[in-house]
Amino acid sequence: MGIEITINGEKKVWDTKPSETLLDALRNHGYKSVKRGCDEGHCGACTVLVDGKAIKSCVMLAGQAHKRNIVTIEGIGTIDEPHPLQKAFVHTGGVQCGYCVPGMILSAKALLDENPVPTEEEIKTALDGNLCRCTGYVKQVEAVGLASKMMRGEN
Amino acid sequence: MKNLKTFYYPETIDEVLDILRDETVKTAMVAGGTNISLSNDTTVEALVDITRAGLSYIKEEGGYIVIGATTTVRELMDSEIIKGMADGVLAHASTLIATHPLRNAITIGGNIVQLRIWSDLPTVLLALDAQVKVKGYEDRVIPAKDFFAKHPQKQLDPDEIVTEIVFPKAAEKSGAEFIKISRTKGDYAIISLGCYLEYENEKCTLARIAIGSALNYPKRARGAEAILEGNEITEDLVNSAAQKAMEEIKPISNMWGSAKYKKQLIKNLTRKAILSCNKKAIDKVGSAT
Repeated sequence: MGIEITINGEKKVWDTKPSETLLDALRNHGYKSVKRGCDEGHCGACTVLVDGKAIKSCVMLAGQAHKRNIVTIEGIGTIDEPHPLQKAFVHTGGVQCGYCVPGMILSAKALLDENPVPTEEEIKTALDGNLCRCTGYVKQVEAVGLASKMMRGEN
Repeated sequence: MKNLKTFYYPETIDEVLDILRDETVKTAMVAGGTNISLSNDTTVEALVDITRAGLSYIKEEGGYIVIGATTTVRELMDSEIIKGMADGVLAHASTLIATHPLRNAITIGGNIVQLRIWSDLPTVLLALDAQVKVKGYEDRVIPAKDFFAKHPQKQLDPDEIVTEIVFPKAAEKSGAEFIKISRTKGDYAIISLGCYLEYENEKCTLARIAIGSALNYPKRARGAEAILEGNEITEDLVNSAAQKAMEEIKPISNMWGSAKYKKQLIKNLTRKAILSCNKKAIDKVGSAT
């Protein structure tokens, strides 16, 4: 089954199995930043942006992404030019093993795109679907606050 | 879903209905996908993606709030209309459902049709006296109390679709409350309770108390409601209504708790919810009345 999707700004037509999840389709096409954790909608490691909203790609079928705009971590920064969120995560020490971080940064990006000056409570709500077993979330919440400032040119 | 062959992307409700009526293909509808993506159903040959059929909206129509079936939990929690209606109980309940990326996916229609024991929205919708609008060969309007009396999937024909959820606006002098008990905020509910009270002069004229998650299908505590209606809310009356709710609702034991524990919760939460609704109603009109 062919689906048309825009991924990280590029239009693509993918041949997918109708029963395939978006997570599988993304990984099969080389988007390995999208991680498989629980595979049942709890951990958030597979979070991507679908039309700007954070979505767990393990509980969405690839067919549902037809004509949607998908963003993965490959689409928001490069090693030479990281996104402010990526810089902020490094700066605050919000990254340990790193497995949860692509999903977490995408959840944070969805938040900051809609709400550039979030409260701590709003940051926590936006990240509540991304489990991290290394940290205590403190540094990541700080990182999103810092990124918000950086994006407004305050830091 | 191993026999799934294709997807349909209808752009109107009529197109959805045409596809559902095609008896040569076994179809299922998908909106958020959180349920169907984990399904092992091998009979489904085609999925009908209904998120493009114009069913995502929240609006006020006359004395009613009208919610399109594919409106997401996230949209409910952020909607100014929903936040401003009946003390924002539906928005509040929405913030307590699952986690953010799932709230972006889960739809009100999917949530109520799939009805799981832990579902929170059905409890609120019962308390708000919602009605479920269904389209098929004939249009139907099913009151929430009937819709949730048995599993909703058993009430709908394969060629029917839930299109809207509608509930009356809250009265000026009213109070509403939603309480969910779970181990963590986004966890499945051990019990949920929705309460809505309306007043005229000093008396409670209408009471709706709905209890969910403690039993297979959410239910109104009619006996407790009857104790409140027509009376001024006093401490004694609240206690007898709470006692009655505990007696009339039969919770089940499961991994989330024993029936005995849930009975105690029903009593305590009913009391707490009535007092909260009462206070909200008084605060709204002020002590002058």
